[in-house]
Amino acid sequence: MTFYKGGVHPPERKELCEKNSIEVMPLPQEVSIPLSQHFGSPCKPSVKKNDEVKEGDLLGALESGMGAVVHSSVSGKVKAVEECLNPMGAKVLAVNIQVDRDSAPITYQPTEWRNNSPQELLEKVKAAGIVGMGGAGFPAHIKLSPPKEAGVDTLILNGAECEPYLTTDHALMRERSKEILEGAKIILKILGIKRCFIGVEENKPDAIRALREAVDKGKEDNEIQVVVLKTKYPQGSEKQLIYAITQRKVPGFGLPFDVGVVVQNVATTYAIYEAVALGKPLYERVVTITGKGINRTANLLIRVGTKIKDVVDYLGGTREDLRRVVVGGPMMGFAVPTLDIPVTKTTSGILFLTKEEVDESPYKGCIRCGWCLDACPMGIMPNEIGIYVEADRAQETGQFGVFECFECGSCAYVCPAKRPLVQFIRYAKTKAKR
Amino acid sequence: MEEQVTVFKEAEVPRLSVGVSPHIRAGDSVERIMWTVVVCLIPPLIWSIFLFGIRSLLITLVCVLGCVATEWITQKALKRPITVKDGSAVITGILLAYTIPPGVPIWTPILGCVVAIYIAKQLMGGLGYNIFNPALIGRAFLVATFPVAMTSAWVRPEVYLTQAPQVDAISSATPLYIIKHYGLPALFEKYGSQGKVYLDFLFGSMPGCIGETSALLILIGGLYLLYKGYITWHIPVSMIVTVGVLSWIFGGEGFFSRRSHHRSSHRGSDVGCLLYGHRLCDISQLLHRKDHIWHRCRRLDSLDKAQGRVSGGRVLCDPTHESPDTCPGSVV
Repeated sequence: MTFYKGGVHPPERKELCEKNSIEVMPLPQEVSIPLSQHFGSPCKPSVKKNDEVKEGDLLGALESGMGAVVHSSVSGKVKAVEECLNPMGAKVLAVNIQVDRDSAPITYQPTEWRNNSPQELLEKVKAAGIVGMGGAGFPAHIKLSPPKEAGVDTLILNGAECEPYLTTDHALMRERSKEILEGAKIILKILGIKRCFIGVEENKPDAIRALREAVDKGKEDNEIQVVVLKTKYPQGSEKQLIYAITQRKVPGFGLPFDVGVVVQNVATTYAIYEAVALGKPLYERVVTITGKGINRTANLLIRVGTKIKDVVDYLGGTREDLRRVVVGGPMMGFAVPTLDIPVTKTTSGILFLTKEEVDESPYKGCIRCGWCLDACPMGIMPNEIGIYVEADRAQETGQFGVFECFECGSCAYVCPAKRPLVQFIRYAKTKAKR
Repeated sequence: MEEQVTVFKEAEVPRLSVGVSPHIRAGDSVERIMWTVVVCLIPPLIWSIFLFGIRSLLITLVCVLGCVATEWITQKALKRPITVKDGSAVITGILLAYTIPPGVPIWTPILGCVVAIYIAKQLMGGLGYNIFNPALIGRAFLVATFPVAMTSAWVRPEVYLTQAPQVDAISSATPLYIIKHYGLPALFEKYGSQGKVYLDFLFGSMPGCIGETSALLILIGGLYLLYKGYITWHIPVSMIVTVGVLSWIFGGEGFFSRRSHHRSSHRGSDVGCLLYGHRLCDISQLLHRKDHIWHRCRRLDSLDKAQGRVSGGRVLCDPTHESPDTCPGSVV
C-alpha cells in the first residue's frame, strides 16, 4: 500500500542503527528543559531559581491557548530559568537543572485504566504533557478530542518512519509492541471507536512481526490491524498515510478529522500508554543517534533536556570528518550550529553526517526538467515557486499551491540543479497571498 | 562570541555546517545528465564516420569547439559564471553538427554555433531559460545563410575504411528529395525493395545529415536515457503515434510516404502534424500529471526542434530524434 502520487526513494541508511536495541543513557550533570516543546503557546514557568525538583514534577503550566505542559526529567536543583537555543534555532525559555545523581529513581506501578471514563483518560494524557513525537509536536490531547460532528471512525498509528537513518519508532515497535498496543486501546477508548490500523513500512519486518504477535495475543472487542506499507518517502506524512491505508483524500487545507481519521505516531502512543497505565509524564524518549560522523550509533532512551554534547560524550565523541549535525531526519530535520542544544519531546533522531553524506554543492538555475513535479506528493509546482522567488515575485506563488506544501523536501532531493526548493517555498509562504 | 568558540572546543567538534533541509540529495546533477546525453549521442557519430568519412568527425569537432568557445567568451563578456564544464554547450555543438549535411565546407557551422549559443542560449538567460533549442536555431540560421550548401551537400553513404573520399564528387539525393520529385516507387526502385528501404533507414545507409541517418542508433541512445529516467516516453511516443496516425488519415503509405502526396505544400503540413503532435503530447502530459501544465517553454522548444528538422530530414527520423533532446535539459 502506498500513496498515489510523487515520493522518492532516498538511500535508507537504517542499517547504521536498526539492529541496536533501546539503551538507557545515564543521567547527565545538567539538563536544560525548554518550556516550549510543542505546537502552540509556551508554558509559564512554575519553578524558580534554587527550587528543588523531583523527576516528573511540573516545570511549566499551560496559561492559555493550545499547548502541552512540561515536566522535569530529573531530580535536582533549578540553576536558572533562562533562554536557550532549541533545535529549530529559536531562543526559548528553558529551566536549567543541576542533576542530583544520588536521588532514588522514581518507579511507576501499572494501574488499571479500563475503569476510567474517556474524559478521565483524556485528562491524564493532557496532564502528562504529551505531544506528537514524530516531529511536529502537536499536543496529543487536542488531536484526541475531535469535534463530534467529524464522525471519526478510524485511528491510524503511524509507524512508517519513512525518513532515512531514523530507527526510533522501529526499535520501539520491536521492543515495546505490547505497550504500543495497549496505548492504541486507550486511544480507541478515548475516541469511542473500534477500528485501528498500525501502518509500518515493509523495511521493518521484525517490527511488523512483533506488532502482529501482540495484536494476536491481545485480542479484544476492537479491530486492530497491522498494515504493511511500501517503503517510500514521505509515506509517514499524515495525508499520504491516510490515503495509503484508507484511500481517503484529505482536502488541500483540511485536517485528518475531515475524513474521519485520527493519526498518532507510535512513539506518542507509547507515551500515552505510559501516561495512562503508569501515570508517568512524558519526560524521556527514544532518540536515534546515528550517522557516519559519530563513534557509536545507538537508539538511546534520553531524558528531555539532555544536551547533545552530553550524548556525544556518552557515545565516545564524533569522528573527524563530521560536517553537519541534524536534529530530526535528513529530509526534514534541522541542522544545528552548536551541540549545546537540548533534546526535546519531538527529537526523533540526531544525525552526525560526514562530508560524503551531506550534499553541499552550490545550486544552479532551473533547467525545467520537471523532476520536482514528479516527486512532489502534493501535486504542487516547486519549480515555478523557485523561479518566482528568485525573480522577487513570491507574492504570486499562491497559484502554484505553495500553501499545500508540508516541506517534505522530495523536490529538492531530486533536483539535479541542487536548488534549495524548500527554502524558496518557506520564503514564499511568508510573502504569498492566500 | 567567545562563549560559542568554547562550546565547539568542549565538544571537540570542528566547525559545523548548517543548511536548509533536505540534508541529503540524490546523486544526479545537471553535469551528469548532460554528459550522459553526450555519451548517448556518440554512437551515431561513429557510424557517421564510417558512412560519410572523417568529415563527419571534423564538422562535429568544429561545432563542439565553436559552441564551447562561444559560451566561454559570452559568459566572460557578460560577467557570468563560466559553465562550459556542465556539458550543455557540448550537446548543442553535437546536435548542431548532427543536423548538418556532411558535405558542407568545414568552416560553415561556426556561424551557427555563435548564433546558437550567444543568441539562442546566453541572451535568453543561459541554461534553462532559452525559449528555443539553441542547436536548431543555429541550424535554421545556417539554412537561411547557406541555403545551397545546407540542402544539397549530401554524401552517398559508403563504408569508408580504407580510402579517403573525394567528397565533392559523391553527392547524392536524399530519400526525401526522391519522394518529393519522383514519388515513392522511385525510392523503392533506387533501394531495391520496400523492405530494403526500411532496413537502410533503420541502419542509416542513406544520404542525410551527419547524425540522423540511423534510427536504430538514435533509438538506442533514447532507450538508455529512458532507462536512466532522464527522459519519459511521453513526448517521443506521442509524436511518433501522431505522425503515423495523420499519415494514415491523409492516405499516406507508411510513416514517411505521405510526403509524396503533399509535394509543394509538404512543409506546411509537416509543421501542422508536429504541432498536432505537440498538442497530443501536451494532452498526454496533462493526463499524466493531472494538474500540471507542461511548461510552455518545453513546448516551444520541441516545436522548434520539429520545424528545424522538417526541411532537411525525414519524418520517420524526427520523432526518434526527439528522444535525446527531451532530456531534462530540453534546453540544449
